Amino acid sequence: MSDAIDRYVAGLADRLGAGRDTWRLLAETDAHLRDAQAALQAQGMAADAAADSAVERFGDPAVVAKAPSPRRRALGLFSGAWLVVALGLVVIGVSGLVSWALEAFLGPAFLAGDVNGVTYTAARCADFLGFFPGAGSCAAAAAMHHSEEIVSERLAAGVLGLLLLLVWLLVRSIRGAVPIARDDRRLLLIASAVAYLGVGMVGFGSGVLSVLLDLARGLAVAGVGVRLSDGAIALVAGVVAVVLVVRFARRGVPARPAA
Amino acid sequence: MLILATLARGSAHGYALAEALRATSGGEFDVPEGSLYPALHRLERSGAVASEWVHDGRRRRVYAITADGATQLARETRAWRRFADGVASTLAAGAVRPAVGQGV
Repeated sequence: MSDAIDRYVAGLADRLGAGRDTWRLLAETDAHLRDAQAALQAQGMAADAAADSAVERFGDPAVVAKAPSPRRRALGLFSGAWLVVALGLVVIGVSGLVSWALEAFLGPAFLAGDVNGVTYTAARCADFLGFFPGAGSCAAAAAMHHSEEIVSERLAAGVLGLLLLLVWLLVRSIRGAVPIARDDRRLLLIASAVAYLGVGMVGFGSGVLSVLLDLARGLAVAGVGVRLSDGAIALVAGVVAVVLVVRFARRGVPARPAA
Repeated sequence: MLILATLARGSAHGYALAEALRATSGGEFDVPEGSLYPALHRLERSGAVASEWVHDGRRRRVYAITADGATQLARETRAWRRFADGVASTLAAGAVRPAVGQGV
């Protein structure tokens, strides 16, 4: 059965986030509250009332949760920001995989072909055809060149993200997790959600709009794959971030000491 | 300083320390008990106290003052006494003078 002490410790845990020091503070808090409860019960108080009173005397969880020094909080924020950047790069890498698939199934022109009306100088065309002699046309060679850049750059970003994630996990396993303050976790989650949803809506929206305009004008759909890919993956990441924000907000309601 | 002074009388876990602070201060220092732990952790990081887990029916972190902590306590106690003496002297001097503006 969950009593006031359990709820208090859970609320404190949520404020502090995961970390070696957090675990210690939670263990100490639980022991302290149980001692206080036992002492009050020894004075004749009922168990529930004693737990409520012990929690009240312990004080606002916000006071205890502010235990980390400013330096440690900054370290936690840095660690969280590192993780966000690493995951962001991994998301870009996933978009690279999707772009790769689009290129394979729908062709380079769909992924990264130039919009209708774009032309190149003869010298630039010669460059493209030099890269892809079998392309058959300047536009096709340009699309293959752009596709290659799009896929390779995104996959490189994904690999970099995985490396950053590996470093983060390595440091975490050696030095222990650095707690991220509740306000900082909220900031990182909301910033991630806004960034992903913004990129997703602009990318996916403009991609869909381009498809509709091309179809309406009876033109071949070209150069929209990258926007659809980036946008769709960013939207998925954005939805995940929004779910995390909502879960954070729901779980994050701290236990209130009973009056 | 009060935490170090209390620990100078013997090692204690957080709850016992809170009770001792309340008891020895005659109830004057009835602060939220949770605020002790951030202070204890800061003192430990500075090397003024050391701690270890002890199992005596319940797992508790027991804190003890270190040699550095004892030195810090002595220094802060001297500084506090100088300050308190200064305040006491000032208040005592004020008490024997008539207040300005009051007729005799």
